Amino acid sequence: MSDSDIALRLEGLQKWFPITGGLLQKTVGYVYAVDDATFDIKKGETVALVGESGSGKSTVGLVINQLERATGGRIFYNGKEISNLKGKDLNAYRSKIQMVFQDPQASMDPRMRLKDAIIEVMKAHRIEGDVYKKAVEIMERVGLSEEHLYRYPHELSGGQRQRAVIARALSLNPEFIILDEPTASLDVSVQAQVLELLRELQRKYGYTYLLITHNLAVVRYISSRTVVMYRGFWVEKSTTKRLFKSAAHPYTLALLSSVPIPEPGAVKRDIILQGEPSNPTKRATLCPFAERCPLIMPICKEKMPPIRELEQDHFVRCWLEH
Amino acid sequence: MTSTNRNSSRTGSLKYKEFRYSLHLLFSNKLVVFGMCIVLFFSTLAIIGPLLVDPNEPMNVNFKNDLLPPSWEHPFGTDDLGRDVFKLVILGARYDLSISLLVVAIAAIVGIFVGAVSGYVGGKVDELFMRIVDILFAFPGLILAMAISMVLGRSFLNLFLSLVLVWWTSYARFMRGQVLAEREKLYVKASKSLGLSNFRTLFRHVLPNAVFPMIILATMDIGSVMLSAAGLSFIGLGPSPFEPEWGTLVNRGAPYLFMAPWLISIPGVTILLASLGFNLMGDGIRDVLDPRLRR
Repeated sequence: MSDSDIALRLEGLQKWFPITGGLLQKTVGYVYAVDDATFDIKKGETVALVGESGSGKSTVGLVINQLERATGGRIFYNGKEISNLKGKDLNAYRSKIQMVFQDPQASMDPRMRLKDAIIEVMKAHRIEGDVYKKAVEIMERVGLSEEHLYRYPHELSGGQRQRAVIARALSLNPEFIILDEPTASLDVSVQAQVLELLRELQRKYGYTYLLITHNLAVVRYISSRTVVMYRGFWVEKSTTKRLFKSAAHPYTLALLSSVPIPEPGAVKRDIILQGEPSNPTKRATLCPFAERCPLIMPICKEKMPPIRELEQDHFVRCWLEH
Repeated sequence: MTSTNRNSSRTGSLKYKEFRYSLHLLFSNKLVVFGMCIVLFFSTLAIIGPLLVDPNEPMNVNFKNDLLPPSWEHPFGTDDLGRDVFKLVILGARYDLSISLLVVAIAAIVGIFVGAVSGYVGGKVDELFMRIVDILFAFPGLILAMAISMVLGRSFLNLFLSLVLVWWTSYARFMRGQVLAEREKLYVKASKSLGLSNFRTLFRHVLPNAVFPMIILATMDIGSVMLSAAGLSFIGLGPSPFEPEWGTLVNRGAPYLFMAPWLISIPGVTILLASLGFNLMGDGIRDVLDPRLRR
């Protein structure tokens, strides 16, 4: 894997949200939302970032898009560090990296027709030529038609709305798209259509995706590699195939065991985790998963687990495999 | 919202139904209809008043006719300068309506702008604007307006200025709150991630969505501004006696309370009626525009 193949590289990315308190609004602590996110995304591939609510996966997306500034660590896009971009450079970077949010209804201005919303974005980035024609072309790309340009967001169905949001993201000819739970708010039947659309767009135009989700069925369907996060730390990363076949981290195993098996009579053994993730305002010094781990060992309560490469391109942060 | 509008081909009729329902709400309340009639009546007077009666009546000083009681010739009597009170009251509609509409309009525009910038930009700008608002808020409105128009001197323009200076603060505060709430919504984040500038996001997205409740506040304010304007004129801070503003008429009639009570009572009742009309109409419009307040 040469470096020129890599679209995005995160190195020890951290994002702590300060908690302010008292009369002078002093920082009295932090919420350690992301404490170590380290992974690469190759050009044209789909990487899934999975984890439960509060694992910091959405925050990673926000930091990549620079809607939030990282507290520590580094982000490289096409080999260039981007965490200090400002003004025009930041805008140029943002036009290459687009984000599709979970709730399409909320992520569009309710008082704007699609036409105005899409053309506004193109104009703001000074895209040349007939923007209206381009808008129609983009609508067709996502499976909508010219007629939909004249609709308000509330006049679309859930699936159409998510397509419209994708269209708006595509209007800037991005290279990289962050999909933050793109199907979570859709009906199951529509989910498949939207995922199929995303896959087709990738095939045709070579977009790179970072898929942020907790839905493992979606992960298996669309992503080639998967990173599992728990309480701000990545705990396991590998190709999706290998992860589903031979996961090593107890947390990944528990996640996988929660996926229903679409086969009648299949024997399924759930691993049900006890308790909840530990307090995010305390910085983890041990394995963050230790309290809930069904396979806990004495050493887990003493030291942070090391990172180990099990096979090529399969990494895990756990004492078990040491 | 999602469930009702799934079938997009029917949204047209849905909107129409919504509109019909709004009209129904507006007209089913008899008090609101009464208020709208009053407003319509005074608005007509303000527009065509100078065509109905001689616009030079305020200058028509005739001491031979002073303090005549109401009669067929002078339905509301005459004042101490011998001018016909009926004509003065009709001509005054223009002054009172225009000052209350203008004050509300300018105060709302200034307040909305300041509040929007303050809420959206936050930080030191917010701090600065809101402290100015706090200072102005600390004084009772009418007293502050009195002080300002006393400093500026007695004229129609200064009356207007002092009222605007007092009134914009409530709009600024309210707007700031609206923008703070709107700013946290996902579409604002989305437009940032699309690389739209702060300026554009604020004025094209946040503002139109946050400004709606301001319209309700503005319609409800017209009546109280009218009362305050008349009140300031009554205590002698309004325009000159040759501008027949209603408060000024009451002020000029005050010395003759026992000799010629119609000089006070007629313009007084007019002020009361007009501001009542605007208040009732404002209530009605609020009920229609703000579904949360519907019973």
